[in-house]
Amino acid sequence: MTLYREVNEMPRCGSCGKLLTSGGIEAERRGHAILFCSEQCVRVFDTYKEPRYGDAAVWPESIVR
Amino acid sequence: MTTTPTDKRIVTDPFLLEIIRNNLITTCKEMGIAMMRTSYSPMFNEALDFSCVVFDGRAEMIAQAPFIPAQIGSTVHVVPTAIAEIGAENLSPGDVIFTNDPYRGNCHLPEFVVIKPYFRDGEILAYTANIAHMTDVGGMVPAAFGDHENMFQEGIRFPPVKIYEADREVEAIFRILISNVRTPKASYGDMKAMIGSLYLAERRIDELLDRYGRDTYEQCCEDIKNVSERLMRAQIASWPDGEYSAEGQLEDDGVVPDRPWKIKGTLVIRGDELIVDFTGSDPQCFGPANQTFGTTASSAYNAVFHMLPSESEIPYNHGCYRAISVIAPPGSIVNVNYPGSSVGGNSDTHPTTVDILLKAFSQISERSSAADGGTCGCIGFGGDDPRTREPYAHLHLEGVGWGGRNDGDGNDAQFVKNGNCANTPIEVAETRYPFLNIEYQLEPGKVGHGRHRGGFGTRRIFRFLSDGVHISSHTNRHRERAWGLFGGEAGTNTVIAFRRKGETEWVRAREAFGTASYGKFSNVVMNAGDEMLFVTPSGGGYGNAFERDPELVLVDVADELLSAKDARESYGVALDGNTVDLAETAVLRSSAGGGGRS
Repeated sequence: MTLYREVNEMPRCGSCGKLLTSGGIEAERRGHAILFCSEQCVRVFDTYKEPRYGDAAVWPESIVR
Repeated sequence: MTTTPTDKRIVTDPFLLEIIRNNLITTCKEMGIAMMRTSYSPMFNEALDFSCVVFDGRAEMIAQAPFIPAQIGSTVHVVPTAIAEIGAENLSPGDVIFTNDPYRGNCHLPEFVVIKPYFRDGEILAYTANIAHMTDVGGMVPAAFGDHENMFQEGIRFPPVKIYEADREVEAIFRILISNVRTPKASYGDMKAMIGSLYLAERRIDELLDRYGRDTYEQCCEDIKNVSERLMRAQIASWPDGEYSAEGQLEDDGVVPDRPWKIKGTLVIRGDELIVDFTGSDPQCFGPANQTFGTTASSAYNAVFHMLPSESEIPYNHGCYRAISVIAPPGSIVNVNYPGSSVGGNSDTHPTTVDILLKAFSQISERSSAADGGTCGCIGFGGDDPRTREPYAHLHLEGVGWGGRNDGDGNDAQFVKNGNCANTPIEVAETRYPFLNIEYQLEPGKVGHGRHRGGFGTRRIFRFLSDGVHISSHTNRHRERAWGLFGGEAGTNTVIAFRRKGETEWVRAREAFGTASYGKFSNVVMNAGDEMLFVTPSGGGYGNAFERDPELVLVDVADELLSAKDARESYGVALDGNTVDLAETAVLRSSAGGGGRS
């Protein structure tokens, strides 16, 4: 059996909050490497979420590095 | 402002596109009929709590039919997530993926999801999928709904696994599954019915490809989605740009007494794009009322689809969802973190979330509706049936009153907005389970008054025929009522109460059993001859009740849903026998402030 990772060890999309069990798009934002589920979510983060919420736009669950 | 232009050209001949699109929708419907006819549990063959969908080779939905909105919306996430986790490259013809993991895009633990890749020429060109509410999933209560504090108490969880390989059962998975539920025979039969529907769909897609060829099929898959995206974006663009927020609350979580939980939804309309932002909602609760991400996304889609004009012909598929983005903060009541409980988030929080978003939509459209009963009425019964000497588990669903809307009254006794479920007929329930229905009717006199009144709830009394009936519940609106809209009045509350054999007084769960909540509790025990009362909530009213057509008030009085006193006091309508006294009605309404009622 390959190593089992429980879901609390997996990242959430930095915009929508969906669990990412595999893959994703990594992007540098506000000093963090954040994982997103899609280009659409990257765009929503850049054009709505980050301008509106500032540092609070970055969820700890989305930071991968 | 158009922020995300859709310039994807539609290539397929429009007539051919409609033929193939409808062929795929019919396939979904046929899957559902097969499921209904071959399943074992009333949950499937009577309540119809399942949904059948077809995805293309990119794992994007291309067809659905009018099944359960909550389930269908979550398949947008759980199906591609499960496929990605297993890896499409690891799938072979005859494989079937199974999962019920609530954290991986699914609605909640009882929703079982099976997915089958369709291969042609060695490549995956489609996925057929079925999501269905399994009656029992093990856990601490029969039929899954109660006052759980974590997912482990809810039942057995499967991350995505193969349950079929090369058309053969993976026996270990089946053995683990059926040895962990109270109804192994029915659960096995229900799983086979679900998987059987996938094989049926595969045959239909095969026939479609034989007739039209792979290139046409694949182009149609893209065009089907692009047409929907174009239409959905046009609809969103017709709404005024801006941000529109609304809040609402759940009355409790079943664990902490009297502690309400806030949900906040903000609609951000930017040209042809809609963002549904749930930032500002409360942290996740301690009980099972949390929504998973899949449930929250699904509730957002559900609300948007409710706002489409009745003449809208937008085909529901992946293209619709492209235009809608969701923001659901992890660890909040709209995006539960492991191992938080979420079984009631799909049944009761989902419809409440939809109503909150409709309240936000009411700022830009009169098409929005008042709130509905906000609960699926999930009550689980279980124990040992003395007739069969086997354990049983039954999930009872009940209709509620819907909110009044701009073009009519709320529906009476209809399943809430997250589903299209039917109730289980009394004859079926009484044949299968050891209880009787002593009374079942619309609950008269209790409704949210309005120009278009809310729908009426129901009143039902069960009498139990055996000792040791374990009853659990996840229901809502025992204290919070469905709100009215545009001057309409709030609906009325849910009531669950118990009466021991020979007693006359009804006693609610908190007083009778010391539960934390009136509506969320686990394993209260009733015995032969004991009874349970279940009154479901009515919907909120829409518009000022004193502007209601007096003839409609008269009809409600004639139907014994309202009294003449209700007509006079709540609607300003005076009756003279079987007719409206127009003169006195005019006086009553004018004396209330020129048609307004304070």
